[in-house]
Amino acid sequence: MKRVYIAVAVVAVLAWIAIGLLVAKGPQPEIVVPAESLFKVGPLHVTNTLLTAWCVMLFLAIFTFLGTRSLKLLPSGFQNFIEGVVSFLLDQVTDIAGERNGRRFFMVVGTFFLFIIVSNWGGLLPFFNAIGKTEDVGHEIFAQLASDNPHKLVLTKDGTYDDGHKFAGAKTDKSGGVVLTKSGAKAIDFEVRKGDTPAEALDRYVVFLAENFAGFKPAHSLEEPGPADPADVKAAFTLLGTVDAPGTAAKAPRLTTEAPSEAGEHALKSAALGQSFGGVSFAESQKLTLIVPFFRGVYSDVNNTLALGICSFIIVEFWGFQTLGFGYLKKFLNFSSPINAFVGLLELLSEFIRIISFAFRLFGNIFAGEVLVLMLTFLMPFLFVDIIYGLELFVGFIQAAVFALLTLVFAVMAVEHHGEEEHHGDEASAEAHHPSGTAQAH
Amino acid sequence: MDKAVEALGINLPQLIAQVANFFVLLVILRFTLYKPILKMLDERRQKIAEGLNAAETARAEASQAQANIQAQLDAARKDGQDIVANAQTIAQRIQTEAREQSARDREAALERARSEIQMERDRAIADLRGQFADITVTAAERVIRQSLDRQAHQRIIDETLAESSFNGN
Repeated sequence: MKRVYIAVAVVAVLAWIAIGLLVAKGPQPEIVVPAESLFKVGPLHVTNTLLTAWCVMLFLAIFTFLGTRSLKLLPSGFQNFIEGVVSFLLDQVTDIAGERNGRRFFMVVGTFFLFIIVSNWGGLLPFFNAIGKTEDVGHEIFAQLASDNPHKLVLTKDGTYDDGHKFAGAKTDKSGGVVLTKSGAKAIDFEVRKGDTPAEALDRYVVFLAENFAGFKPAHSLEEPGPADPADVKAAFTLLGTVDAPGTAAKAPRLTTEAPSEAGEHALKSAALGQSFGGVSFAESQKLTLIVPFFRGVYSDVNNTLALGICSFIIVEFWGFQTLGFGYLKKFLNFSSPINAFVGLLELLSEFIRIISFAFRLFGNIFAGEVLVLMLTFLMPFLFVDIIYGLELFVGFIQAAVFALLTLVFAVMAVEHHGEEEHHGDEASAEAHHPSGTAQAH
Repeated sequence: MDKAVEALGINLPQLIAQVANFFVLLVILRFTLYKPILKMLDERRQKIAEGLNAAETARAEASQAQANIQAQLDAARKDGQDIVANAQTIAQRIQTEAREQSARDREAALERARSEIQMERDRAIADLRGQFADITVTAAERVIRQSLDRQAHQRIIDETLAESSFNGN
């Protein structure tokens, strides 16, 4: 009997995986490290991570407001939960920092914890990285190549690109508007290489388009170094112009010769074809676009983790000065002996290195988790992804706890007395020495 | 460095926005979460402490009352015992007195009886003495009146005695 059960279980699991691969396969992930900009307000690009951060804040504000609106002495239900969370945090903090300092540090540490954990767990919701607006990469590449001052490429004075850039996209049937990522969509990348001139890049783009949209087989792969083979470019251009039978709906993109309409752009002359082009037009059902998700894990963006690290730094230093006054600087500027001076220097450096380690610990964990989930939805939807989701829940909690606790520990270290002449360390003497500092604390 | 910054997409406005976000959230949560919850937790802790104190007081009072009741019971029992003992003493005394009284009464009665008997006897003796004197006088008269010889004497006395009512009673 047991064997039968095992056999049935194995078959069920395999069937489940097979169903997943057939119906729920994610698109080939386009891993974009910087957060994608959704719209712009003044100098601020509102990226999807920033939007998500605002949503998390709104959620926390509403959730806690509703939860604490009518508190009762005998708690029940929702209030139990909220009180449980708060008293769990408070207990942890007072365990480490002591009763008095614990109360003082609690709000900041708790905010770090709640902000990070809600962001991390929220980032696992299904609509994250799945619903977004599309960005028309096909047109954008040409516009960047034709632009006098492209913002994604660096054009040097001698007319070559100083730095390569990979334009990521996927073949989709429409661009613009809100879309859901398509199951099994294939990612295609076009790379502008360092040292390319715009004309050379355009040649490669022509071959690239023919290869991906018209089934063109180049004699020399685009992966090869150096400019594209002129024969390939010519063949590709001819194919793009002739693959669609006249009268039928167009499928392949075409290069157009009209002058570009955008300001700051000029017609682009191809090196191999010796012809100028003003734009590229894509057929209605065949477009090269990149889906920019509306929501993305808040801490899969270095800006946000770095900002939290800076907040932690600012607050810890503030507490240090508040408690010890300028005596706080003694830790860093200690010239009683060369060794102490060196140690002080290291201490000072470590204060700043903390910001970096805070930022990259959180970013690395969350970004890697996000990539892992995206990759696995593409490779093995169902089952394996579930396991990774469990892991991600754990990682999300651990990272929040680590961030909050490290901030707490640094804060405790910062408000501690040190140095030879006042080696008390206990609270009473801290108060006695700095009545003004501790008075502000309350 | 610049390349790394660009590749990671670090830019100042977003950094500032996110720092601001954190402090905004800190302020929001301070008012919507921490303050009310901490207040409630403290309030509850205080209420519980008060409750425990009250319970402690009540327990102390209860044990005090218990002790009081016990003391009163003890006192009452002692009083009762005293009363009983008193009553017994009194009863004893009454009994003794009664016994003494009755003894005295009996003694007195006896004394009275004895003195009455004495008086009775004295009166009888006096009576007897009187009668005997009369008889003696009578007998003497007769003796004097008749000439007396020995035999006549004895006959007169016997006659006198026989005539008197004093016949050995």
